[in-house]
Amino acid sequence: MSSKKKKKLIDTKYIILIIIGIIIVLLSIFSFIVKDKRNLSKPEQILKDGIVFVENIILFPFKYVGNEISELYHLKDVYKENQILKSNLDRYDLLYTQNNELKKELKALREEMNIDYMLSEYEYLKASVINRNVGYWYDTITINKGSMDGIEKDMAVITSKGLVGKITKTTNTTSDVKLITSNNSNNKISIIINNGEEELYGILTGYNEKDNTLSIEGISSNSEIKTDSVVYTSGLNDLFPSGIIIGKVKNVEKDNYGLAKDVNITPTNNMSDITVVSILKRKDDKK
Amino acid sequence: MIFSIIIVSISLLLEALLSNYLPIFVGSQNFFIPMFTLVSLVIVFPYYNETSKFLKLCFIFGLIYDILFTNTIGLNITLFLLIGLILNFLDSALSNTLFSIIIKMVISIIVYDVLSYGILLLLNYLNYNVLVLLMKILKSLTLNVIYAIILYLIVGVIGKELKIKKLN
Repeated sequence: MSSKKKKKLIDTKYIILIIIGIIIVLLSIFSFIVKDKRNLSKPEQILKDGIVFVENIILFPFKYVGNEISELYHLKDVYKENQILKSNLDRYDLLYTQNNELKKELKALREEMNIDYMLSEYEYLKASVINRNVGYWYDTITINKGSMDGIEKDMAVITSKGLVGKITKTTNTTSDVKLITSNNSNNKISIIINNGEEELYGILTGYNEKDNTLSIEGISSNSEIKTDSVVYTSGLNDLFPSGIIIGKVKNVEKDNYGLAKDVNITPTNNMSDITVVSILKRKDDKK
Repeated sequence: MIFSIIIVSISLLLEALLSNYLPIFVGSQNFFIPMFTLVSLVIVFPYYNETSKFLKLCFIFGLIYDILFTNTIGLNITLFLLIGLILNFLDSALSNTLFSIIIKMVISIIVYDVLSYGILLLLNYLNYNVLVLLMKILKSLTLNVIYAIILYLIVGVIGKELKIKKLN
């Protein structure tokens, strides 16, 4: 009887050890799998392209109706947008002339300084959103352009309103975009706050879902930051080109130690309402 | 088997469709997070005599979910298989009435959310606090309970028409 009990105890120990072993192995595999830097393997790419193709065919009529309803839903904003456009139209001639003058000046400066390539020279590739954040924690959208269209990892994705995110995964016909609202620990962006008189550098560190605000850290407590100051990319990390608008300052708080300021900004893009995006591609990247 | 594959496939497509359009109409404070694939797995479980066949179904749809939505091949396969095993375990304790199915669905959603959040947090992939997880679970339940009731009734009617045996 006692030997039976002893045997059972050993068996239970082994079972616990096996379970712990399986958990460790699984976590090791997952730690590799969930990395944004991981490239999709060929079988994964082929499977994803195939499944997305079938999904698009089946859902086409529903998506068509959905898009029509979405456009109708946005009709209420058309009058307001029209008024803004009308007011901007008056300044069009002036801006056109200014733009031409600046182009000439820029060309002359580039020739003088022997600059062959500028970070701001990008071409825009248009793409439509085909899937939106189904996994919830991943904060990604899938677009209908892939490596066959020249899309590569880490390219910046924008809309007319500002920065959306960056490309993390590509297949032949689709790409995944990690949104700037993702609370991923690797999702840090170098930014500039234009305070009117001075430019303050900081780092975009996270997103508060409740207030729909992005947080900026690393701003000196001596700096004066006005509400509604424009925040855009600094171009320092070489991932996003400089000058892409991210949002406007909503409020400023002192950090826990009183040494720096935490700035909350409202993103210019409504991340839940993105249907068409542009991918920034360097003009000399054509292959 | 084919009957349940069709039901789960439709739920998967519906989940993809609603995830695209719900945020547009509801906004960033989305109170309806569809998890229809998981709900449909709970609904079709009583139509399986053999657990191994049901686990195969969980594996296939875990794989599709991984490839199509999250790019984390293996993670959702593991979670779906685990939920399959939990459903099998709960089967002896709970019957297959609508009320029991909803309880099973709630347990499945909680297990899925807590485990996926826990794993991603452990691997330093995200840094949300636990409050966000609780809110996510609460948001998930509203829409999915409604979907579970509708699907339970539809599957029940179709099952009777096609004379597919359901375990009690």
